[in-house]
Amino acid sequence: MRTHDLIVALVQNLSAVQANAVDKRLNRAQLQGLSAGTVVLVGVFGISSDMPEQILTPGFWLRLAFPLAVVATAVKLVERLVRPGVAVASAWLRTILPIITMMLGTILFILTAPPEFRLKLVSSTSLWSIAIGHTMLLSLPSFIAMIHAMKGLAPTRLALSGAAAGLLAGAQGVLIYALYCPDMPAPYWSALQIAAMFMTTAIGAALGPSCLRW
Amino acid sequence: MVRPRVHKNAAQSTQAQETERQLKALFLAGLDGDTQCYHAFLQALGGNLRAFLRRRLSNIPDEIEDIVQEILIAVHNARHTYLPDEPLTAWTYAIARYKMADYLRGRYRYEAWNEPLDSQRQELFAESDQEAAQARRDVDKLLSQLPDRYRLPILHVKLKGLSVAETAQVTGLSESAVKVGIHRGLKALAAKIRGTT
Repeated sequence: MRTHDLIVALVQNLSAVQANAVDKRLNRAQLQGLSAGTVVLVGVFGISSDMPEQILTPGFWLRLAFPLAVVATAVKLVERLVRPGVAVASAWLRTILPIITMMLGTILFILTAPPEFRLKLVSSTSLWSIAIGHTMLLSLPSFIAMIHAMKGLAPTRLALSGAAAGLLAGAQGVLIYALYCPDMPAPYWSALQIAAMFMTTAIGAALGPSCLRW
Repeated sequence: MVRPRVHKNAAQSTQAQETERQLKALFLAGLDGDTQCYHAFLQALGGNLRAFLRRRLSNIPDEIEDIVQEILIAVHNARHTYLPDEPLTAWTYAIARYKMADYLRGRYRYEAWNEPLDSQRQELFAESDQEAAQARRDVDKLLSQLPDRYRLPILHVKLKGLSVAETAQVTGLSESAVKVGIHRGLKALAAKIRGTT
């Protein structure tokens, strides 16, 4: 095909572009991921036994605040990554900031606790892997929806974009799991949330170059 | 030495700014659905891409048009990701670089599977950066094996660039002897080269 003919063909199916097309697409993907994740939660795990009462405890809201903060910043990051040629360094920094704060808080909490209580704060490893596995399962719908949405946009930095998608999906999975998981000491759930997000970020970075190619 | 280059860069950057301004106006109109402007935008962008790629990919001139088309399609499909506040150059360049890398990656992968390895093995020793220096030495070595009646005409006419008449004067040979000497000497050299490789 000659380039001239190609241009004519491209011009022929031209339609006006909406100004906020990227935001709309990403928001729809988020909504899809969150609702699908919630359906998985109810289908696989059911509804938490102490659910209505738990909403009244401050710990519950604190547990939601952290993933919500990460979701908010990670969406901004993804929105920049899917636009070619836009700088993302400051968006990365802003995304990592709540995570670092949370990590430092957790470490501080564990260090200030009397040594004989520390083992109790971070409980057994099998429980850990189960909780992290559940969180990753819940973030899977979000990840698929996000990758699908990003593929229709234009990410040019594939591994980074995959990592950002993984982080966003992980934060959403954590958010959903926070609705279910029983009340527990703060360092336990914060370490668990960070570990789960770290895993999904790594998986996203590994899958990005093959999944996001366009 | 430095000044003309600075001038050239300055001229290039004002040219680039002008192109950015024009293309951006056309592109933004295209985003609103103006087909004429969009057509002009794609045409102009195609020209810029072609020049850009020709400079960078001079080893595959036949495939440049393919890459230009790939990039134009990508620009078209990704046009909703452009932010009007950002420079159009940066946006287009990021897409072009991505598509170029993607194309080259696919191409190398294809070659790695499809090009017979033996031909690559030949290429490995076919050329080297030191070739110029070595060629000079090789020529001297080969020439020294020729008798003077061949060697001197070649040395003066072919290497030093004298005329046949001047060579005849310098060497004391007749002009026809110089011509014959060059002819036979080159033949003899060719035979030696064939023999040594």
